[in-house]
Amino acid sequence: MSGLQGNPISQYGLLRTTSPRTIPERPTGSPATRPSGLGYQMGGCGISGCISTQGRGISGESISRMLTTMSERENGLGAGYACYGLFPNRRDEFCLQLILDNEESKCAVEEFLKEHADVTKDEKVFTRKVRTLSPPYPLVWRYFVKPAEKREWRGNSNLSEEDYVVKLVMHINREVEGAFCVSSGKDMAVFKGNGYSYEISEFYDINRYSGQLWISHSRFPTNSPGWWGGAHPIGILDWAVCHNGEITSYGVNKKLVEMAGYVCTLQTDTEVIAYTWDLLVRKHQLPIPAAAFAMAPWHHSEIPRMDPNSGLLAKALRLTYKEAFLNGPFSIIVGRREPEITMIALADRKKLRPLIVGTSSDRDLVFAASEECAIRAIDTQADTWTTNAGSPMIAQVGKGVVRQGVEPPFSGVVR
Amino acid sequence: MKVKESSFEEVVSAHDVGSVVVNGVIKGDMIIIRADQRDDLGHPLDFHALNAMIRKAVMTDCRRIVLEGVLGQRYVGSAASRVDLKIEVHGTPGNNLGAFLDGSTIEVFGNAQDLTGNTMNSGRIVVHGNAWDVTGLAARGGRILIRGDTGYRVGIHMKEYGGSKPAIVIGGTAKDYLGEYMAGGSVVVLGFGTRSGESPVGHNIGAGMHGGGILVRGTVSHHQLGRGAVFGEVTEDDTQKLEELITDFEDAFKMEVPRDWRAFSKVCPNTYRPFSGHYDPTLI
Repeated sequence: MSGLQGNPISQYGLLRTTSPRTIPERPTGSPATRPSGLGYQMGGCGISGCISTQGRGISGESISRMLTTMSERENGLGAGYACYGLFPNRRDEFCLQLILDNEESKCAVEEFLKEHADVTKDEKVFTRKVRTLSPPYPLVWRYFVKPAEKREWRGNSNLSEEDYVVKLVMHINREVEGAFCVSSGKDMAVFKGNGYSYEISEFYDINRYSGQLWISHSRFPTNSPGWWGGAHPIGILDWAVCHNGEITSYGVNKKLVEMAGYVCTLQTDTEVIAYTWDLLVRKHQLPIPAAAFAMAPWHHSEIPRMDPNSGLLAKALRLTYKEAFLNGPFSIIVGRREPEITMIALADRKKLRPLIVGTSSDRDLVFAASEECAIRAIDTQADTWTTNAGSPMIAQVGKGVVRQGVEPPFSGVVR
Repeated sequence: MKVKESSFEEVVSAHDVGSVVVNGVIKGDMIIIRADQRDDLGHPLDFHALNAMIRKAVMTDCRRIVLEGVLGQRYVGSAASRVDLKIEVHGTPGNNLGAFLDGSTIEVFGNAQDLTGNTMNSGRIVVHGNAWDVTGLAARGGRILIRGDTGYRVGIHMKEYGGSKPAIVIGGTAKDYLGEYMAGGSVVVLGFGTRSGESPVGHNIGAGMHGGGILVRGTVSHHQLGRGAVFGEVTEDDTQKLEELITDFEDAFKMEVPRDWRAFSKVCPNTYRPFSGHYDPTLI
C-alpha cells in the first residue's frame, strides 16, 4: 500500500494520485467502436390490465395489444400475462403452473406433489418456438391439485388450504432444482418468460386464452437479473402482481414476509409486494384500501386533516405495518380472484411512476396501464383518468369500478 | 423548394438534390401523414420512423402537418423551429410531445401523455383534452394550453430569462407538486370540473419555488402549499397577464371564461434567493 492510500483523507477521493491503477482503462477494440455502457436505452417497465366488469371473456389478443403498444418501455428481458377465469370447469382446484428445466426437475416436482396433495389432472402448457427467442426453452407444465386432507407442514398442523399451498409453493421454489412455480391460484394462471412482450405472447400463444381479467407486464430490469422467474406477473395463490419501479425498502419488506413464512427466491423486489398483499388481505383480513394505505401511506403531517376515525386507522396502520411500507417509486397492477375477480391499480404515495386508468365507452371494460396509448389501442373512445398518489383504483367483476382512486383513503372502509 | 410525394412503403432515392421526399399526402400547403400504419408485427409505427417522416415534412415549406392515428409514439414534433408551422396531432401522442419545441405550434385533438413540452424553448402546444403528469417540465419559454385536466408535477422546474416567459394554462384541475422548483413563468389553473367543496389543485403546490407565479381559480388552503411557497396578492400586473392568457385560451378552445379575478388565489415564492446565506462565496 502506498503512503497516499494510507492517508485518512484518501477515503474522500479528493487527492490526486500518480498510481497507475487510477488511470481509467482504455476501451479495447477498434477506435470507432463505442465502448460498452455508453449506449442509451429508454427505461421503464410497462404494465397494463383489463377487466370485464360484466364477466365477459376478454381475448388474450386484447391484452397483448395493450402491452405491445408500449414497446418503448421494455428491453426484451422479461414479459408476462396473468389470466383470471381461465378454468371454469376446475374452478375449485388450485392450478400450480410451473416452469421446469427438464424432465428430471419435472419428476422431482411430481414426486413431491404426489406426497403432499391430490393431483387431479396435469397437462403440458402449450408453448411454441419463437423465431426471435433463443433456446433453451423451458418445459411449462400445470398441475390441478386439491391439498391433502391432513395438512401438516413441519410441525404446523391444521393449516388452511391456502396456507398449505403457500408452503408447497415455497418448498418447490426453494428446494427443487430447476423448477419454480409461477402461479398457484384457483381459476387463473400466469404466462411469463424472458423476452419481449410480443415474443412471450407468441411463445404461449396468448390469443388462444380468454378470461375475465388480464394483467400484464413488459420488463426493463434495473437492479435485478432478467430471467424467466424474475419476469412479472409474480403470482402467489390467486394473487398476481405487475410492477413498474423499485422497492428501495426491499430489505425491511422482505423481513416482514419472511417472518410470516414466505420465502423470497425469485431475485426480484416485486416478489415481496405479492407476498405482502397475500399477508395483509388474505391472512390479516384487511380491506383492500387499508392494505394499500399500509403499503403507500400518507404522510404523518396529513393525518390530522382526516376525520377522527380515519386518522386513528391511519396511525394504527402506519404503526402496525411499518414494515409493509413500500418505499420508492412504483406503480402496480394487482389481480385477485377471491372472493370475486378484482383488479387493483396503485401508484406510490408521490406518484413517481406513471399510471392511468379508464373505462370503455360501454362501461364494461376497466383498464389500467402505464400509458394512455395502451388503453386507446383497445378503445379510442375510452374515458380515462389518473388515480391519486397512493390511492388504489379497484374494479370487480359484477360490481364495476368500486373505487376510482381519487377518494379519501378509507372511504367506505372506516366506521 | 420542390416537394415530391411518396408512400410509406416506397423506397425513395435520396439523390434528388434540391427536393424533399415526404411520406405523406400533399394537399396545398398541408402534408397529411398516416401514423396509423402498422409494422411487420402489427404494432404501431415506431417513433423513429414517424419522427423521420415528420422531420422530412418540416424541411419543406408546408404550413400544416396533419398526423392521423398517432398511438403512443414519443417525441412527436420535438425541436420543430419553424414559426409559421402548425402540427396537428389526431390520436394519442406519446411521452415528450414537442420536447425542445422552438417556435412551431402543436395542436392535439385528444389526450397527451406525460412530459408534454419537455424543456420547450418557444412555440405553442394546444391540447384539446387532458395532458397528464409532468407537463411543461423545465419549460424555458412558449405556451401550453390544456383544455382538460393534468396530473402530477406540472410545470416543474419552469424558468424564465429575459423576454422568454413560459406559461401553462390548465382548463381543469392539477394534482400534487404543481410548479415544483419553479423559477419563472406562469401556471394558471382555471378549475373547470372541480368537484364541489374540493380544490382544483393538490398538495405541495410550488414546493421549492423561487420565481414565477401560480394562479388558481378556486380555493387553495394553506396546507396545500409546499415548502418555500406563500400566498400572494393578485396585482394589476397579474390580472393583465391573466386577461391575456385567458383570452388566448378562449380563442384556442372557443369557450368563455368568467373574469372573476377575486376567485383567483396566487401562489408565489417566499424568497427569490432561497440559497442566499446558505453557502459561503469565499469558498469558491
